[in-house]
Amino acid sequence: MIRRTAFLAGASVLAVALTGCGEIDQKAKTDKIYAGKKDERAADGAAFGGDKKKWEAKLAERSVAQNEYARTETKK
Amino acid sequence: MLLTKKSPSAPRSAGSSFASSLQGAIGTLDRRAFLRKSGLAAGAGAFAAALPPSMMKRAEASPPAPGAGSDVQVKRTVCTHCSVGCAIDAVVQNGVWVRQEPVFDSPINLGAHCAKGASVREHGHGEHRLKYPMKLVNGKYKRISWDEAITEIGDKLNKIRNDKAMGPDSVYWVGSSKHNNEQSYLMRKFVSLFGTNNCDHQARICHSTTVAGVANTWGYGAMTNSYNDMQNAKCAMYIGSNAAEAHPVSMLHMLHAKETGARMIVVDPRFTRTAAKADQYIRIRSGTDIPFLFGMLYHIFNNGWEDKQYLNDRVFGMEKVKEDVMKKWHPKAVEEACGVPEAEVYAAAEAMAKNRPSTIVWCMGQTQHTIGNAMVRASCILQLALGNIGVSGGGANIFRGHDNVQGATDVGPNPDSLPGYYGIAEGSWKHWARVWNVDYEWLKGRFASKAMMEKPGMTVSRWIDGVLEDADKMDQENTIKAIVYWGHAPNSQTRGLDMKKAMEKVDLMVIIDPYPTAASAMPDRQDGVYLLPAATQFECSGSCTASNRSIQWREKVIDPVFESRTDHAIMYQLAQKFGFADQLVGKRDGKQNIAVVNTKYGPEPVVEDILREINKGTWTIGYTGQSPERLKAHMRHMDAFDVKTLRCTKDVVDKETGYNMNGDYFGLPWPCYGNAALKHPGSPNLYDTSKHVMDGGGNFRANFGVEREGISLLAGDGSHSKGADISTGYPEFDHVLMKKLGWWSELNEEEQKACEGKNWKTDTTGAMMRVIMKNHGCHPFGNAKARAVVWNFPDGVPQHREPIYSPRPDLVAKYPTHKDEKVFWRLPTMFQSIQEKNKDISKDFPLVLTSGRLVEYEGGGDETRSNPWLAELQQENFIEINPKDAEARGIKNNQFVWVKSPTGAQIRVKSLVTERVASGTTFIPFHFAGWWQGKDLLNKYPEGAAPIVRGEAVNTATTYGYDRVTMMQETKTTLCQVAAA
Amino acid sequence: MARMKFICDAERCIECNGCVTACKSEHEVPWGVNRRRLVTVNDGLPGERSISVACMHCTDAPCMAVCPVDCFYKTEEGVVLHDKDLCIGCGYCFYACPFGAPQFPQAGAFGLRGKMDKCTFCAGGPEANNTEVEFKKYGRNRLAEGKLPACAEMCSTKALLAGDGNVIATIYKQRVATRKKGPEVWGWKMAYKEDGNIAAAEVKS
Repeated sequence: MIRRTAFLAGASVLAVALTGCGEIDQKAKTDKIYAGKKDERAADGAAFGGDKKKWEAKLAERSVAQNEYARTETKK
Repeated sequence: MLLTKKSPSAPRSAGSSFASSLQGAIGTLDRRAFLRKSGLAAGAGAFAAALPPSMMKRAEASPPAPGAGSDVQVKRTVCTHCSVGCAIDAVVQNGVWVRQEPVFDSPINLGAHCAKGASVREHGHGEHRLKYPMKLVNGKYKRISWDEAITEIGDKLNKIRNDKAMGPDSVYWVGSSKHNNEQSYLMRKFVSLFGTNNCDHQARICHSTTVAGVANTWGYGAMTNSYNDMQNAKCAMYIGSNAAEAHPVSMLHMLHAKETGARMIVVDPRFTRTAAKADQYIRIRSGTDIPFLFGMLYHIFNNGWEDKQYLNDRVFGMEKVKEDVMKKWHPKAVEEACGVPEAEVYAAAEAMAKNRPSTIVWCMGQTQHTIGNAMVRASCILQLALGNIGVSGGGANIFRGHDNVQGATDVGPNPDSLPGYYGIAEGSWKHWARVWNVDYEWLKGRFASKAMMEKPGMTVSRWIDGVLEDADKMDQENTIKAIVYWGHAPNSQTRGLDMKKAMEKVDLMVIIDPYPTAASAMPDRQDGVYLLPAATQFECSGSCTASNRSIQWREKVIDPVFESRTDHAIMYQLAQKFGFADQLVGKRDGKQNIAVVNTKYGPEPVVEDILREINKGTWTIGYTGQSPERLKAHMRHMDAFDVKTLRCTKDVVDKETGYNMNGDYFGLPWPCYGNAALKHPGSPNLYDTSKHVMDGGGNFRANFGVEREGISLLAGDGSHSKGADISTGYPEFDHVLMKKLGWWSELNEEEQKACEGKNWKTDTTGAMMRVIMKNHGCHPFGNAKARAVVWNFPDGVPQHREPIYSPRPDLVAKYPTHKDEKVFWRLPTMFQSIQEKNKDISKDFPLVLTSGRLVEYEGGGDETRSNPWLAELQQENFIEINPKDAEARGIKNNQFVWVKSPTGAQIRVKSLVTERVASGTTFIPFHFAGWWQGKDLLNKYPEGAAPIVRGEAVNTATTYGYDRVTMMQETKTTLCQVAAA
Repeated sequence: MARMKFICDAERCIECNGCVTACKSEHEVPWGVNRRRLVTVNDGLPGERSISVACMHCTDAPCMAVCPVDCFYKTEEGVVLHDKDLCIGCGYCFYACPFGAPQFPQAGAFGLRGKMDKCTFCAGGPEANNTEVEFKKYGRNRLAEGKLPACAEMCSTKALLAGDGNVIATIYKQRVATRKKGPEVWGWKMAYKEDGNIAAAEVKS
């Protein structure tokens, strides 16, 4: 639970985040319907050709680069 | 509806109070409050309307759609804004720099950037760059062609050079710490071929006192460890360094260290952003570092915290220092001088002593004083007493300023030395003439005389006196008649009023720079000013030396924009005009050291060849092993290097060169001894006896003789770098010592012939080093003690002396400055006479004025203030003043004030009322220029090339004062008065 | 499913503005428009802390709830984006946003950016990914390139983290655990009314 709460604590949406321990409903609690143009999904561009797995893996790899511990505390 | 309406309990209060605290912050003392609140206020309109027309449209180099097209190239370069050396991947499409990507692989910055580093791509837009050569005609800048420019400048300089009443020493060349190593080196050679030592660069006014102070203490004038190595420190003390603004990415390593348990102490007159991150902040009075440092030392000696074995084996003269410290710097004297109570000094001393290895960091806060040389040595002495030098996690982490100020100091235009700190004695000239493939006799003939050839030139801090001083009081025949600013802002030098006079008195001013700089607008002249557009480091390739001595290779990102030319091409083309182009590239007797290629902007020497020539001659400091091939291989495999040690510990083979970098330290931090074939890995931490010399280990340098007053200067028995065949101290190596030791026979016959009569610094084959280091594990520069007492300096034991303009007449009487010097770097230099005259000046000018950096800008700021992404963040110059002092003067926050100087100058800046500074102290950042005593000089810049943000230069108001050893200018402690405008 | 979030570690942020210029450069954001900016409290005083603020990509976004023309949408990754063709530039979202994220460039001066403009989490907008038209209206689409927002990727001290909430929370948690002095994240104390002790929070949840 900590993993999820820590990052959200700064935002003002805490109540939503704390509603449960499972996968959290990410839909906005508004009954409004988007009236604009349809967007492409991130993985659908030229770079990944719709391969969501590949896209997610790439993003995960990129996330690690934000953590210098991954480089300083492992190698010797 | 609003989310908060649905759950009115906790989140509502959290949300709303967060938002209000956020807005409250912006309304109060935040420096960014200077920025019109474009973030929280809706309209950008106010700004847009005030912008020059060119801002309104998108830059011409507007990037095409990403990902499209097949000609997308990625060029790896290095940020040009500070000495950390952050790598950047530049994405180039159709010759246009379209994007910038982080280089996570870099062990130095791991992809991280500050505001400056994240915005370097703007150089490729360069809307506010100087676009073509210009000259001043009837007070207006007029476009001219390059041919005209070279011809006219060349003719004028030749005339001065060849005129008996002037001569080669009448031209002053200000080089640049923003040139890469190859350009800096070529510049020193260029000036030598012109026939003078009157050249200098930013290092003079940056860390010259450090270089002189630390080199005289233990051998080399450089940061001993690295930014990365700070991760291994258990305690770090910053004194006179605001790293969070001046070296932001270094904080990545420090904050990591802090997270893993290191303590952090900041000592500064200002509560800086670095101080905001510290465990302990200590406020000292500006200019009193020695009382504070020796106050710490007092407690260290008093408690027996010094490293006795280390002092015995590796340090000379500590007893003498101890005697002085115990006598003069008891806690009461310390508090009187620097204002810090005993408990705080004790806490700092205890933290540094009980959390070893501990490191010390200093910057301009320590160097830019009339006693800067002594202050930096006091820091060295503290670290020696604690046994922290030559230790990973310890060291003197001296953060250099510009991206290549270390390299330009090492191999560039210094008035008292040829590349590699060889000096300018006859032997040094002969060594370099040989490397340059230039005839020594011819070279000598270029100078006014042999005496002038061997006499240190003037410094950039004093060129104005070279113009204004009477010729008969100077140590050269005639005054300065022409000034060439080649990549150097004028507003970074003190005494603006005098500078303007000097600029108006010279016959000729030449400014070679990507930006016109304040020099183009400062003087009231009608003619005699030329502006030449130089390319930035992103428009050429070459190597640059980061503060930690790691050398990185920049790939050229884009071709020079507009009509600009690379600095080395301009040097070559001017040399052609002067008739020494062949000598500049070492072309003689059918040999040529440096190839010349033709470009769209004329002939240009090949950068790799220049580096190879540097490799051939710079043995003293080990710039010999860093071949272009090795450096380029490192840049392609940055991920192979460990972040904490900088070492590559596995086989990594570069495909292009076949080079295996196993064992290397990143960027082959100098000294990287021997030639490339010796495969010395570079030296991550200097003087580290725990490593073999072939693993980057070492010991203190034997450079000051073998004995002083009956005491050996060589290291004690048993003290030596790991695996050395000589297990005690030894002198530096020459052919005689090698013969005595019986090592001579390990040279082959040919080598013996070449090395006859040579020493480790002058053997250009590298064979001596191979035998000494590889075969015997010894250090070519000997194994000696560091010197706590530097007898060749004015104060052998560092002494506190009050600044020339001091707020404390009582302490001036107690700690007076030096005596005046009749001839010092060719000029009469005053100390005591001015201090005496101004003893009571603080009655009229009661506030200490100090200056420093902002994170958004660099140096004189012409470049960064021309970058809209940065300029938007700091739009006005300001003075930080304590609420008490402001109230006493009826000054409100964010209003215009006049800052008045004892020189008679007054500058108009905004007030920033803040407790960041103590009562009695004010602070003004030094990056601004373009205003002159209240007046915007916009109309005096060449059209379209004025920086976006202009402001008053603090140095218009700074006063006289120079370091007694290096002629460093005093910028950190002077006096002023502030009044509402 | 990745859920994109920013978090700014106030213990690390040194107010260097790297995130701000990274954003400016990556999206060619014009002068006066600040998709991201720094906020400092106690400037020049002990306890001085800064954080970098942009659109927080709220799960239940107030801007979305109040928009009279319903031009906002959320991507699968939880990024709040909007359609500039539909936006009428009324400013109601700016009124609703607790962070002052929406920006309103002067109409006309910067071409298509006359409407509301804000941080896109480097995810572009409702146009085909990585096209010229998407870039001109919304800026780069780094997410579609498999990259994270430029501001976080270039942060000088790695204070600003961006990415899947769970992943960056793990990174942040490691730091907090290493520091051994509890989380200093903004709003923590306000949220839990405790002394900010991570263990206490764990018990509660």
